[in-house]
Amino acid sequence: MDKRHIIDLNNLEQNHCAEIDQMLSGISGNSTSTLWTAKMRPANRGGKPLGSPRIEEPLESDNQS
Amino acid sequence: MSPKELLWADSEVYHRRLEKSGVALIAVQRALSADRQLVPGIDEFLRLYEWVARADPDHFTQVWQDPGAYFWTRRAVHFLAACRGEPLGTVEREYCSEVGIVNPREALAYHLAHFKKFALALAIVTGKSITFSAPYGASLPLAIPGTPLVLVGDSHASIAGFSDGAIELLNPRRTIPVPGSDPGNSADNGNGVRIDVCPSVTCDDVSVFLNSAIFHLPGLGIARGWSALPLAFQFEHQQLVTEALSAIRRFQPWTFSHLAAGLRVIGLKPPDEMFVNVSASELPGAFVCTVPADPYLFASSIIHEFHHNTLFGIEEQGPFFEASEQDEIEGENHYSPWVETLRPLHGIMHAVYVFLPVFSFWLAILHDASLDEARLGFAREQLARIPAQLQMGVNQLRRHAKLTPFGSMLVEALAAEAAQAQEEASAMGITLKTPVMGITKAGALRPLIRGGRQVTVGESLLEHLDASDVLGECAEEKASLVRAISI
Repeated sequence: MDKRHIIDLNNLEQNHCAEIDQMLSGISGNSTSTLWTAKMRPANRGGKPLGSPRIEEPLESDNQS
Repeated sequence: MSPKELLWADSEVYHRRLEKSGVALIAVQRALSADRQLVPGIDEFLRLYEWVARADPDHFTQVWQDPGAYFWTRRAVHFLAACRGEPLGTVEREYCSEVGIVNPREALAYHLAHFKKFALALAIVTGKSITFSAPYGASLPLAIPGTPLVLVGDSHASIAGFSDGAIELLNPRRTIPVPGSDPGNSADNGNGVRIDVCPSVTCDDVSVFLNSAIFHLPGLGIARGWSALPLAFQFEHQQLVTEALSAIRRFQPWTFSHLAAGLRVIGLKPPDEMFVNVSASELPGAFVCTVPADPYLFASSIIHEFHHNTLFGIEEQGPFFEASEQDEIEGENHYSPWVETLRPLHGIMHAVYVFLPVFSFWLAILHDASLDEARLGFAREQLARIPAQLQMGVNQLRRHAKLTPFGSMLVEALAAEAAQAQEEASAMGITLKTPVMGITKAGALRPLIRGGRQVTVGESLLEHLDASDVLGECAEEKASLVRAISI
């Protein structure tokens, strides 16, 4: 694992005070909307995708290709 | 950093998201320390947090980079805020509905108990013992975070802790030894619960678990029946994933290097009427793909789904859309050339973003020209189809989106790349008269024949507009398509 990508909670506590305070402010009811800008919607609401059309044909012919 | 670098080159985007979930975990711990009476289970959570925080950071990272860690911390933050009056979000409402909970305090207590799965995983990874004050009532299958282990069997397991290399279960009291991490291993104590080992695929620096159980989470919005499939299904298609990763390494090495930084888990599912492939913003580094598939199509699906993950990461830096009277995230209000139903602008922006690297993948395949004719035919179809769809997507965003300066900068960068894609396709001699390629049930590629003749990409795009642009938003594009087809 790349050492730069190690997550150390103790280091985060010491070096990310502003982000922790911001998160605590959101948790206190001052709106979480600014904390998580990557908004989520449940995944199955995406609408039916337009994939490549399905072709109905006997499986045997697939093996001939 | 230029918009182009931000969109395609910044491989730190995955780490920043992981780091943010660590920051959120610390904030949750501090908030609960200051309010120990808020809900039952806080003392146990704080005890486990202290235990987790003392772990070797390498071990903690192995567990915490599991996609489910982000899901857990984000829900914890939202449920805590909801206890102080913030409204529940869509995911939290669905979460509560699925587990039969009606208020935020109950939800927070329920959710805090599920922190135990991270402590359990860390105990397994480090070989240290842990005992829970109250047993962990886990819904099965349970993917043990950061490991290939999956607890399967009955619908629930009551977990007391871990010691001497075994998970301790209650009702009845028994232990299940944790098997070695060789895929296919299994440990069973004959009492309805066992531990399976999911397959993993390694291709150079990319290493990914094939594990459907990770998607067994409330509120995700993904139909969950398939996530309980036996792991044998994942093993069956292991070779397909290996071949697809190799294809990405060969034809799109820059995405391959991002996969090494950000891809953790793929869940394979059989075809059904529910969905084909899907990514969730709440599970960084994970997505679901349908099999069987041609390895090159599967590679393009990986590129597509993985870039949803990337864009969700980029979006952590700031919102793309200004607040407006329409809901850009959930409001299904606009024509999209990629789906049959109306879509939110957020979804259209995601589609524009993810189809650009998919276009580049098929362009590289066509330049290389070493694959068989069916695949090259499919590549030509993609090169004909994608630029036209990209242009419609960009037009829809420019017409309807109220973008932030950050969002506007990115959309204009995407628009320039969409125009470039059109130029590259034209330079290859690709036109809208390129035949549409279909896929048989077994995953083979065939030209789509209708009325004794091949259907063209232009015709299929026009048919889609006729059927799905119910608001007439793309009249200009439709007229342009009609002209192109009739020449």
